[in-house]
Amino acid sequence: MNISFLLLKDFRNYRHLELRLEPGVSLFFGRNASGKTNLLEACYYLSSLTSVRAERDHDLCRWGAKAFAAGCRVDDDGSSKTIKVQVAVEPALRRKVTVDDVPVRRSELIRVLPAVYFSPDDLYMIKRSSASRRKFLDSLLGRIDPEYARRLSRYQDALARRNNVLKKIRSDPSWRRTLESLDGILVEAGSMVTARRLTAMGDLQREVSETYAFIAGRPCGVSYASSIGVGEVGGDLEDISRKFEESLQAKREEETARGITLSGPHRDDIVLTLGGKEVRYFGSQGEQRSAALALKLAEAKMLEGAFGRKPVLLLDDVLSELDEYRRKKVLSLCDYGHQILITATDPIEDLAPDVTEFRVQDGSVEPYEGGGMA
Amino acid sequence: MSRLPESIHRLVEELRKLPGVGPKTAQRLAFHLVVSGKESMDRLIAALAEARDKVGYCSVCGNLTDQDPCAICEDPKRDSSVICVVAYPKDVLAFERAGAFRGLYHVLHGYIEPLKGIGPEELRIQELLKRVSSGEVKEIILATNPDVDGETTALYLARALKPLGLKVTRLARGLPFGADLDYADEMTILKSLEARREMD
Repeated sequence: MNISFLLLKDFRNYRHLELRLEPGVSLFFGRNASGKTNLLEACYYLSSLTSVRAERDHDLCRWGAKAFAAGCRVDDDGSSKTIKVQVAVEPALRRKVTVDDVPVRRSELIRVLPAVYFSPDDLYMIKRSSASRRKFLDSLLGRIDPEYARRLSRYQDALARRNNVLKKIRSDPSWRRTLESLDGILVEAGSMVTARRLTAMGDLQREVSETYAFIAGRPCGVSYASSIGVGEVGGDLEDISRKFEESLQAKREEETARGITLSGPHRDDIVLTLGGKEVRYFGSQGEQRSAALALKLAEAKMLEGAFGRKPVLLLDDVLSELDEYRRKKVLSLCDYGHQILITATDPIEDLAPDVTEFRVQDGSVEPYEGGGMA
Repeated sequence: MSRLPESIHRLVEELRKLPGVGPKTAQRLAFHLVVSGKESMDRLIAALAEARDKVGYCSVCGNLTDQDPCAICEDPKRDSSVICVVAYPKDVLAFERAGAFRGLYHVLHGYIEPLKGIGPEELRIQELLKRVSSGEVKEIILATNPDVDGETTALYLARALKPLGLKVTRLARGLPFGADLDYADEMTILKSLEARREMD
């Protein structure tokens, strides 16, 4: 599957862009702030209607314009589909999203154009707190299963209220009965979130182990660290609900003292290990980079499993971070049918046999034949 | 026009405080009122004064009324063994529009909203407990929104009411009319499956 045509109107710094793309690897090079990342951002936006950088659609609109549009043609096995997104940001935000001119929901886009965005910040997933790993899993599951996103948001609603009540109880014990009512909702929504994560963990474990081995030559362990002590994989809803309730009971005192909820999916973590040791604390710089890359490639595999199409891989400034060997490994994925779009500051020689190169300059993109000729 | 006369300006400012009215609409309404003539403005003023003087809350159910107790609470044809608990007077209106409910209401005047610091004490829950203690009431229907605040309130009420030996029910959640099954989310389908009924 590949994007064969990209159209942008008043998107970021592009007034009007029509770009023909080939399957395989495409490299966009140019100076800082020339608009390289904006191209990858547009592709991801067409897949998810979310931006990797902007909080709001308004920020995607070219300065001074009141509306923007993005569109692409996606070819797959001889058939092709066209995604169009038109967004008015003034006077009020209005979005029109179509596939082959038929209006669709946001969640339909990823079925046509699954995409994975790689950025140098991916390393934080390994190095930083559990929040970044939960975000990875939540974002992935939310795209595969829109119902998951709804449940998670209900859980977060209940959680915010419960934490608020826990803080109030200290000065006003009459809130205690409200806490009991909220517990019911928290446990119901939280157990569903946990159950869905545990189901996904089975696939994720296998995929991460394989993708890590693909990049670094040996397997990597992945496990789910649950704050309510439920088993790693599977687990039925009733069992999870019961353990969640027990855990809330057991920590009630401490929770009221600290004013926060101490168990539930918002306290869980994904732990990556090499030879039994946690990558986060004991992995070398290189192993941590490989682990971050493995997680993202596993994301691609999970999306492929869900939608039956090879996701487009959007590599934003990540090649410079990789050594020769891992760079080759990642680029070899185009042989397995992935289209790969890359940004870099300079053209790269001997990147891969069939690379289409583009020079990006102030909102224009030109094919580049340089390299060997000069 | 460079500046509005002071009195119109004040009118615009007051109108702007109404829900759903922005500066432009407020100005349009103000001009409309002013040019509509003395008679029409007098009628509006009289209507406002009457609402101010006569409308209040029913001391029994808490609904908006211009007599106390309200017309619904006083209606002998209504079934006083069933009370439908809602958050706002507008919810009563919604039920009355549908016309199928023949019992009485109880308006809480809000939901338990921890994020806004609104606890059960701020709602008319004590009044509800007093009402049911008479023994005449057999069933309480909890008609709250299905969001987290609505459910918290419903669960809280259920816990408070159950020990009194009443039948406590809540509105079924499920497919909306005119909806396409194909487009319903999983949670809705799950809940409507749970609350399915035998066909008669």
